[in-house]
Formats: sequence, C-alpha cells, structure tokens
Amino acid sequence: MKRSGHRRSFLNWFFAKELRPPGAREEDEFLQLCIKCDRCIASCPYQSIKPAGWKYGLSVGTPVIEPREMPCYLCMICPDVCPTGALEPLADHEVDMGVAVIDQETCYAYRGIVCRACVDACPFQGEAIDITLSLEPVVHSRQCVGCGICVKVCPSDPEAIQVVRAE
Amino acid sequence: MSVPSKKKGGFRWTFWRRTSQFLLLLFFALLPVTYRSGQVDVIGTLASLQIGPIHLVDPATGISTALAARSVHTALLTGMILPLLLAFALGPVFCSWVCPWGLLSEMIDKLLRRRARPVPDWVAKLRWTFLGGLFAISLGIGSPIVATISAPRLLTELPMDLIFLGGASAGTVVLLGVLLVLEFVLPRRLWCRALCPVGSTLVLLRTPWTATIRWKNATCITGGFGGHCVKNCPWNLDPRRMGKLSGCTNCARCIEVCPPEPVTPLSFSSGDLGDRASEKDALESFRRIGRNRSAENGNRESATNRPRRQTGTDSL
Repeated sequence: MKRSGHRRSFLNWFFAKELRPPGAREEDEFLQLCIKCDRCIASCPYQSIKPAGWKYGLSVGTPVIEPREMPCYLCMICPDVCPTGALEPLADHEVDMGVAVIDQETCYAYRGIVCRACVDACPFQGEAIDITLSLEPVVHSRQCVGCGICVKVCPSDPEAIQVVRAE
Repeated sequence: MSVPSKKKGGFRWTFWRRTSQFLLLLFFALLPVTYRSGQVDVIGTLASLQIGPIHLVDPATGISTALAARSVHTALLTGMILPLLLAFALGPVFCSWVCPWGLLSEMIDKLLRRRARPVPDWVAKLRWTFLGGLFAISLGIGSPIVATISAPRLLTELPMDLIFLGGASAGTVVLLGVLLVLEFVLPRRLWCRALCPVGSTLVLLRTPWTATIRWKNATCITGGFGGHCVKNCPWNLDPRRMGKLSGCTNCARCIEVCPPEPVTPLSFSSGDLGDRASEKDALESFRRIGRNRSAENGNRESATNRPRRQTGTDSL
C-alpha cells in the first residue's frame, strides 16, 4: 500500500493533523477504507470521536479525535465495530495515534512551578511519561500511544503538551 | 391528492410502504438516544449497519471502498451478502421501502405537484455514466467517494450528530443542503432516478428472476390509454414500456392505482416484463394526462383555447 503515497497528497488538500481513533491504519490506507458509517463515533462511550470537517477535503466525515475537547481513554471498543478494517483491533499499549510533545517554554514544571498533572493522568504512568529528579515531565516517545489524556488535563492555556500524529 | 387505493379489497401497497419508510426513519432518529446509554449492539448508519449478529454494508459503498483500497476486506464482503440477496430477489426495494431520502424526495415531489413526463433517453445514459464515473474516481484517487455523497448515509447520520454529539457536523449539513437544492432544481426526482450511486448499483443487480412488474396488454381495459399507472408512478416510469434496467423499485403504486378489472393487467412476476406498449401509444397517454391535469386546474387555458373532447377512456 506504500505506493499510494502520491494519492494521499491529492486527497487532503487542506490536510489537518487531528488524531485518528485507536487502531487506525496508516493515513492513506485509512482514507481508502473508511466509509464514514459513523459506527466508531457512535460506539465511543466518551464521545471522543467526531466526524472531520472540510479541512479533510473529500474525506470529510471521517472520524477524528481532538484531545483538548475529549481524549481517547483507550477502551478499545471502536476498532471492534469498524466494518471495513480501517480500524484494526489491538491491545491498548500497541496503539499509535501519535506522540505527546512538551513545550518547555510554557510548561509549568519547566518554569519552576510544581505541576505533575500530565504524569498523574497518563494511563501508562512511568512508562510513557516520567518525571525527572528536577520534577520535570519527560515523554518516552516509544511507549507513548498518543491518547491525549495529558493534553486534556494540562492546566496551561494554551496547553503545554500536544499530541503530534505519527507519520 | 393521494388516493391510497381505488380497488376494493386490493392490497394497500402504498400504506404499507409508507409505514415501512416512516418506521425506519423513526428507528434511525431514535437509535442515537440508545448510544448515550452505551448500547453498541445495534449501531451504524445506512452506509453500514450492525444489528446484533447481522452485519450489513451498502453494496455501492462496499464496491467503492474495495476500488479505493484496491483490496477487499472480509467484513465488507460478508456485510454485502444480505443486501445483495435482497436486491437479487426483490429488486431495488431499498429505494422505495427503506431509504429515508427516497421518502423525503417523494414528499417534495408531491409538494411541488410535478407531473409525469415521457422519460428522455439521456436519463439512462446519465445514470450509468455517473455511476461509472464515481467508481472510476474511487479507484483513481483512492477515496470511497460513494460513501461521501450517499444520501441515505448523510440523512441517517444527521440524527446521530444532533442527538449523540449535540450538533450537526458542517460536512453533513452542506452535502445534505446540496442534495436538497438539487431536488428542487433538477427535473422530477432526478437524484433518485438517475444519480444516486446506491440506487443505481441496486438497479444493476437485477437478475432474470428478480421480482418485476408485468403488464399484460390484453387485459388492460383502457387499451393502455388510461394512464393511471403512468400518472401515479413516483419514479416517473411507464410500467408498459419498462426495460430491465429502467430503475423500477417495485413500489407497486401502479398495481394499486390500476382500475378494477376482471383480470388485472399489472402484477408482480418473476423477471417477466410482459408486453411492451408502442412509443406512440405511450406518448398518447402522456398527452391525455396533461389534458386532464389542465382540466383539474380550473379550465383556465384548456377550456378556451383547446376544444376538449370527452371520451370514455378520458375521464380519470
């Protein structure tokens, strides 16, 4: 499926980088398979998944997650209801929606204010986000699944931690 | 305006068809309420629906997706089995008995009081060109475009957006708006009749044994000129001149409105269309429908300009 890389650039004229639901295939394959049936959106108990807007061009209506509004709590229901294989069932620690990145300029902890909101909220505490001896949070990108819970709980405005989608 | 049946004791096809359409509309309107309590056994829209162990995928969407991905996922195939069997057995009944956009389109058609006209040849060409084009685009750019513009999907997604997510997504609203404008701007129900990829695919799936409306010339007491069937067909078809791929959805409105006769000229058969009326005869009945209509409209032009000749077959 790698060969279709050129097609993808045509598809997403106004390519936005919201997160896909957990278990999503690589973006170009995902766009080929997703029929916008909204099963994943309807199945999400947290209403984290929403239909994408016009930024996605022809792929308007495909499911996206905006963690600041509602992150993914990794209940792993949505991959099971997908009828086309655009989302594939997998274990929660195998999910790869993206990687959290901390902005050290705005992060309270890096500015000397005691805050460990993201560290406490992370479902893989100690693995995906760790805290250093100087009380600063550090993301281990290999373990981070990109669920975005840390983004949701970050007290800084705008949030000092963001999930960047895996490319 | 709509008289359900002129026949005493005849099966009330339109009554049951409306019941079916409205029940499904109600089903899709209420389904999102159950999502709020975490129910995931009955889930989906008319693009793909899961009802307990029964898994359904719209064939047009499935084909478009398979072309876009250039591979077929097993769940896609298994989901298409039941809709395909239904289309093989009963024809495109989805369009007239299930699809909520079909219901909306019929209501708009009634509201605008559009009347039956002879079907030009380009309608069939447009249908196959448009469907072929959509599948070609799916393959070419790798996006299941049929899913994007499918009217039944958009309309069944709307209540989910509104009730479950608390607001309609811009994409759904804009696409539905475009379809709604087309409904008013284009000729009578052209989206359903010729453009909708979901319907066109189901029309293509007719087999030589699929349930078909059969017309028998010998038993048609109006000699084919009465035109009740032509006048009332919600799909602007002429049951006396249909081909296999004309797009009849077996709504049975023509059977229902056919006047009581010793042997009914219109009935369901297994793949047999019966006799074919000549083009001249068909045009003649369309002409008569037009005349009757202007008579209904208060004799404005017809009474003064055109002498109206009353014949036995003319009084509808």
